[in-house]
Amino acid sequence: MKTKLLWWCLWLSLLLGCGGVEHRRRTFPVEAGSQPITGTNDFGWSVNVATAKVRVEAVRFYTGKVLITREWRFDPYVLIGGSAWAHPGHYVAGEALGELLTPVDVDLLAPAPVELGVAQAVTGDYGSLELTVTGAQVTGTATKGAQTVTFDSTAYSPEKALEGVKFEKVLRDEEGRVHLDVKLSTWLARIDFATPFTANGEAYNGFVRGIQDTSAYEVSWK
Amino acid sequence: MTIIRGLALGACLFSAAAAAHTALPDGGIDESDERIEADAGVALEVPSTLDLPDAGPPAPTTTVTATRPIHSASEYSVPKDVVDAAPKPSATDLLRLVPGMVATQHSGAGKAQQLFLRGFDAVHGQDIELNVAGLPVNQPSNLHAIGYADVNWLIPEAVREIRVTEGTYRAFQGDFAVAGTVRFELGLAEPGIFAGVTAGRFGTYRLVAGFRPEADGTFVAGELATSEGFGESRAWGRGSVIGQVTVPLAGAKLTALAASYVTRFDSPGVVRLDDLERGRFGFFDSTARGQGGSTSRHQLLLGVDVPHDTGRSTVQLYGILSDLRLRNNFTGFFGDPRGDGLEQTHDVNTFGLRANHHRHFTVFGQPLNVDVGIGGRRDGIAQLQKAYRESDGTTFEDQVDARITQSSAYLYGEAIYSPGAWRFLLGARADLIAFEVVDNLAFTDPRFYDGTGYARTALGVHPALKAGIERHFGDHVRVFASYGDGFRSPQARSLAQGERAPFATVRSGELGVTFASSRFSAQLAGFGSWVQDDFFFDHTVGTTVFVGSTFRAGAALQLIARPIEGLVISASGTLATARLLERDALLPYFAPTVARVDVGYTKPFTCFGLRCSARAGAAATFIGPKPLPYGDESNTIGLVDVRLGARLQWFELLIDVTNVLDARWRDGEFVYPSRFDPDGAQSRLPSRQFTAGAPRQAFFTLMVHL
Amino acid sequence: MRAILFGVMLALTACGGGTGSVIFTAYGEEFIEDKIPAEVGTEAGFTDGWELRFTKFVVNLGEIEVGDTKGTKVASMAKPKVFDVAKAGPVEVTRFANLPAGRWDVVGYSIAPVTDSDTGNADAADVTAMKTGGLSVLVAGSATKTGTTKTFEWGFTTNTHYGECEQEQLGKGVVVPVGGEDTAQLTIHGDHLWFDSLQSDEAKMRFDPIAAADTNPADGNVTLAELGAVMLTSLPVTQYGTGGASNVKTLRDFIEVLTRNLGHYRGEGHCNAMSR
Repeated sequence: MKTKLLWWCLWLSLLLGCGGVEHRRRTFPVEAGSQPITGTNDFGWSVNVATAKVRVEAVRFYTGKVLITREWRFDPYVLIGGSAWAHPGHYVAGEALGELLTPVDVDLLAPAPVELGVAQAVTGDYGSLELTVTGAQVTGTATKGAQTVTFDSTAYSPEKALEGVKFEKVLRDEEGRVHLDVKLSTWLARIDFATPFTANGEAYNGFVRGIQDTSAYEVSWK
Repeated sequence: MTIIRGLALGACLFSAAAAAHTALPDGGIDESDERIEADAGVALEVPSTLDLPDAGPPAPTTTVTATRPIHSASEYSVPKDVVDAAPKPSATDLLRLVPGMVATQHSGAGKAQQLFLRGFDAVHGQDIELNVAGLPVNQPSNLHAIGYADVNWLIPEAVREIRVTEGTYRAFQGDFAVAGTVRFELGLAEPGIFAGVTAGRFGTYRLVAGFRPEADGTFVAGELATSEGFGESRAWGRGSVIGQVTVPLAGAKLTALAASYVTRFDSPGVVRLDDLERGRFGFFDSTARGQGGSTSRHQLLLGVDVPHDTGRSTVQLYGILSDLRLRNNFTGFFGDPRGDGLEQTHDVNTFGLRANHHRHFTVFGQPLNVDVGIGGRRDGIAQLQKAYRESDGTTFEDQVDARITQSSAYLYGEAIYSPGAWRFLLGARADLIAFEVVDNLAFTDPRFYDGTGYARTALGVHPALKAGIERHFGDHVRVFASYGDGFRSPQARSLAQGERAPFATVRSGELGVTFASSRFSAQLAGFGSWVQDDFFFDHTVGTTVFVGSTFRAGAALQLIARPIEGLVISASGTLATARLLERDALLPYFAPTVARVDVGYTKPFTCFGLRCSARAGAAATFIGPKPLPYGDESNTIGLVDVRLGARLQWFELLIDVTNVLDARWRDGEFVYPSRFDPDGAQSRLPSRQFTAGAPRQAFFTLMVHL
Repeated sequence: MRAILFGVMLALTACGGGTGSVIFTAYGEEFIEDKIPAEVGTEAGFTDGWELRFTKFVVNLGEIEVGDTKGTKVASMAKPKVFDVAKAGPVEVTRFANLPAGRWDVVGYSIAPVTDSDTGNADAADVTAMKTGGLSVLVAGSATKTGTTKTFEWGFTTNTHYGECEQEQLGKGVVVPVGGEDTAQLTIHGDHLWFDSLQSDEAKMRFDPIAAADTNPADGNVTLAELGAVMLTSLPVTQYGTGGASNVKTLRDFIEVLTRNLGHYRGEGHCNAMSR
């Protein structure tokens, strides 16, 4: 009976629209958390984070794969999308495959990952993710030798979304969720805590560049 | 395959002389009006002169047209009584009579329809060759869509017959005949003068008039029509005049066909389904301003048809001057915050010449009909594309400024040998197309170049083989097996200097059976088409997309019955599938299930001593859900149109109601990213959009026949 | 008879594909061969007023391949060659003859460290230096502004493959004409080393931070080591943005990433650059 049914479907699939289209709509949850800081930063400070908050305005997923530079380990295959007249930027997002457009405030130190929402998406070959964050703020203490400073980073409000966060996954219909980890050590790596956090100061400069460093985000499928 | 093609070409070059044979939708001869073939093919008898008492002017006659001999199970004729059975307010309704055809009008009443046939989404004509009484319709390298085929200039009253050759099995089929060829034959139903005025819903008004002397073939018809449209931004107006003269002269027949047409129309654009569900837009609303366009078309065809003892020869010259201007914005503000609207103009001067020679032979005592054709054509094209602002319609970016000269020549031969109950068809065709492109914008960006444009030339050649076998069983049943190669030419601007132009090549095959009797005919065919290196021109963004090899298959059935005098029933149904072979996935947008029934009844009688008649007709269309990208399916469409009429000698009243059930249906459905709210959160995912189909409309027509 | 011959010709044309040639050239354009000027009006140039000239711009070009998206390869360069695109060009890199005519829409090449390369038009000493240092790119020159001149000579070991090259007006890849030859230029954009953003469309060319790096010693020559001592955090936060990239912390890191953007195609055409 089953074989007969299969033959009918195969035959009907020739005649009718039986069978799959190339890609389908789907959804998946997106959650965020953070990875604890270990060791010292580029300036030798050891940091103890008291609070870490960020507002995620949007998360978008694209086909375009990313450039990863100065890898300390060999990364066998990384693709930079071709640029048009942009010069120099050669990451090109490509087609949009998924999006989550509801703003969420995230406590990065929450004991469990914070659910950002359910992304509307389609199946396909995912290459990268674009993150739009505002209001990033980290407080705590930093110690270097005998010196300890209490810091409160000013809130970060970038003008542009963070493009080209690596997320490579051939996504079909499988169950799962996207997990985004923020590496606070990367956020804080470039900060000399001896300098104060002022609007145009080097500490703030380092904080902004840390947030813009795409290696600060580790995205995985769980 | 190469050797076979070479042999076929050689065979056809040795062929000679006349097939007393059928019309050639590449523009050739219409024979069947004047001869009735010994083997009459599908018998579609049309009632001849009505037997009525002598009173007053001649009875309304229906011209007996000899049946068209067919050489595959997918050659159809849609006769005049089927054409007139149900309301035909526009050319879209004429196209819907083609078995298996879906015709949508997604961008205003004056734009070419989007066509679907046999698993092909032919867009605006890229896969269906259209011809009107010898005048080619498809525009190669059209800026908006490859093979753009606009038949909105047709006057329904002047369409005598629709001849359909589905598949690619005949040698006369040329560029764009990938799914098939549709040829409209022109003529008025009865001699005399007629004039009509129509008033309908949504401020629709139409004047039509025509004249035909006793001799068939000569006529003039004209139409003026306007409407406010059935929703926002749908107003249109058009004027069309068509005239044909046939004059016998010293044994030959001279034909002249001239037509002029102009239209101006608005277009509402597409509505996002989520915007409709959110209440941001209504079903019939317009989403982007200033869309629409205008078209003018002036055409002349001159021909001479010379019969001789062993066949006939025909030479035709034609010229078409066409101007098209379109403004469309399918994506709102997705690409540019100023708006994604594109203004496109495409002006073409087309000149062509064709010659056909038919000859009859007898070989081993059996008939051999041979048909040889040659032709050439030149299209001189000027095209512009600019981006325009949604706010005020001013243009802000020149995107295309090109002149193209596309010249083509073809040569074909077809031989049909008919020993006994068998018929063997062998044909071959070769097309050569030369492209010359002058791109005035290339290399002129002052940031990077100091150039003044870039010119290039390319050439492509396409050989084709056609073959068929036919077997008669008795007087009524025929079985067919057919094979044919076809092609579609590429966009000229996509070609590089010296490139061998890549055609999309289709190889089709079919098995079918026909049954024909005096009152009933049926045609059933199973078909398959493989397209190598398929491409489609994404006309929403103006780029050519190569998709690899594609395959389509299905089955088609057409029935025509005339159980009693005055009654005609025509039904057709097509099932199809279409697949992207390299990714083993369904192609989106094709129509898997299409069905249509037309019923018409005319009853003559006398009243008050005058010749009267009453008529009623209906058409029902069913279009099953089409697969859309990302697993969506389009809505199912079910439409019913009704016609009632009464005639009192010279006066006729018609009441037409289209979409009687007032179905809320979506004429076109698409899936792609768009953004019509410039201030809202921008979704970049593909989303469903649609164009609304017309609601119920009633039209009242008063006609005078003198 | 003529009709028959024409028919046979047509059949043969349809059957036979024909062949042609493609010549690949390398070109540094005016920015490398002549100079990069200071920005004037909308003309491209250094926004902070410097004028720069290269004395050498040596690249190791290799792995030129021609094929299609189905994976067919019809031509492949045997060995890389070292070219100095500061010398007058365009200069021929390699040519492929007897290629099947038609469009071959996949063209790629690489700029990779020298291991075993032939000499193109580069000076022998530079080729040796590239080999010894395992360099893919070696640039030298000087920049001048209001009486101040800074020199530089930098070698990079980045390994980048440029694939699926296309040019907007000429299309993807290359078209081999029947019985003819086409030329495809590998264009090296020398201005890319000086941009102040890795991603932005509005990047500007700057030299001030590079000149200011000359501190150890302040001898008028800017070295890679000196660039490596300049943290990007010491530069305005609105400049030298590293969006789309990671682990870019110093000016040296930044310029090293920019070397991956040097390779272009047929003028302003681009390729998919793959970091190896």
